[in-house]
Amino acid sequence: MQRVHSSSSVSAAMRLKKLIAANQALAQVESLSSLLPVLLRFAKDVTNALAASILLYKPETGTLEFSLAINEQPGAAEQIISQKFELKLGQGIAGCVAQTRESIIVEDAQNDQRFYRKADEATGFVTKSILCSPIVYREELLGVVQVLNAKDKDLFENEDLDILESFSHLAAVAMIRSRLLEKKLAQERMQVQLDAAARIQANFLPKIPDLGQESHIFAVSKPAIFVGGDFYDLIPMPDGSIVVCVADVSGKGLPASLVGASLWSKLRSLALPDLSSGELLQQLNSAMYDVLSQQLFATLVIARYWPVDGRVSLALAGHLPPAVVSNTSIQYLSELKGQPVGIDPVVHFGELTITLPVDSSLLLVTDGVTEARNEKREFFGEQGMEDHLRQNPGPPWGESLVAHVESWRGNVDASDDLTVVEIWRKAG
Amino acid sequence: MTTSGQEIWSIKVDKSGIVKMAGEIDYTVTPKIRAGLLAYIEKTQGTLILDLSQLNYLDSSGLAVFIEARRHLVDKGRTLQIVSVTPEVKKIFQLTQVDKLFGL
Repeated sequence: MQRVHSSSSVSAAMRLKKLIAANQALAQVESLSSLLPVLLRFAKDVTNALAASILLYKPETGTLEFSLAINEQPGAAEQIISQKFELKLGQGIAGCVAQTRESIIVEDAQNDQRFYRKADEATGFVTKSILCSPIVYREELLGVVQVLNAKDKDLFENEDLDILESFSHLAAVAMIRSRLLEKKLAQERMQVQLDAAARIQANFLPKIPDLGQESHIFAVSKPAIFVGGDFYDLIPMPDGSIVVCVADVSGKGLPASLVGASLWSKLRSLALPDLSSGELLQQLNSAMYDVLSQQLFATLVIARYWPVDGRVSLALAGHLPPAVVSNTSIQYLSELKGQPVGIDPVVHFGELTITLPVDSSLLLVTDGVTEARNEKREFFGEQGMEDHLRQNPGPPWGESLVAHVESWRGNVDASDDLTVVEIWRKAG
Repeated sequence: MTTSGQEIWSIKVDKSGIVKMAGEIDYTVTPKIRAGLLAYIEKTQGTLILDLSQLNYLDSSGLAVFIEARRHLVDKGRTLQIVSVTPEVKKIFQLTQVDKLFGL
């Protein structure tokens, strides 16, 4: 009797049709969790097998884990998964395929030394023939796909293996695609949060108060990455003075900004009229020592200003010394002593009282100004700042200084948070 | 302990146990440096000596790592000493007024 329709060209055409259908279905799938079951159903269908499973490779343990299984014998698939079998590289047929990254056809599993028997023992399924192919993307091993027990014949053939291999290539691409998609989604979610955080931080900054005819304030703070560790505060006091603070928490980004928010609120709660600037820093240091838990520090400068007569009472914690600037001189208040907040639980802070002359400014900046870098990796530096102050008449100088730093920086991303606060007196 | 990331920074320990840091240290690499330095402190005894003669840049997060490392050492009755430093980096220690903590 003549054999009917088992010629390889007919089965090849059938296989090709199934592979095309599989590719189309895979292209539709968006999430990794729905991808693998679809993949597996097609693997089993395309090779006309009784059972199929996908094992995923875990690089951190160097093992393969059964991730999904289909089996026409009822209950077998569920048992394979619930037993959480793990194969090391080189263990079982799947382990050998994962190790060598080469497909294997097994004609008689029961008599093959490499075969891992525990799965059959658990399910009662009797594995006869196996087709196993690695799922590899470029150099990375993602896992292994295997199909068991050819349905319409005794053994799998090379054509079946070819199909399974083409199929596992498709699977690798699809898995990488969905991994990239998940990463992109996670990044987008993060971006939304960062945008919200940046808006909130901007709202923390106080409004610029009116200091009367003669005295003015300019203040700006720009984080390097969405949110930052710099902040300024302007706290009006009942006696008409204003406590000005510029702070810089070490580092940048989210961690620095969280600590900055805590520092800011602590400062607000401690700033009482009968405290000197040095005492305020001392209390702030004690209060923040635990929060900073010796892993972060903050530099600050406090300047309490009386618009009525231009008096300023200052204290400083490891911060860049403030400058008194006029059209004829730049004077840094370097005699202010005090180390950053958060290093030692008890610190003494030096104090200084000066009078800000009319037609001059007190300029408080963070190192975002001096450490600004351009494309040639040059620093703006104190020199850049002094050049700007000397080459431009004032007061004021603060706003134009910020603009100058930003244009000087060019297209390079800011490397640090930048803050400038300026108090100036001009004849009304 | 030898660690380096990209091409910009490196840490090496020489035969006499001096820790040499080179290149530029900023917030993108400080977590690695922090982990390496704290682990090294656990494995050693006595004064930790740092040679920063090849370190061209240090940002505030890097400085925070040194301060934290020093704190760990002081808690164990040890110290940290910087034996060599570039002018740029020395300025950072001086401006923040922590230079004396490190023997500078």
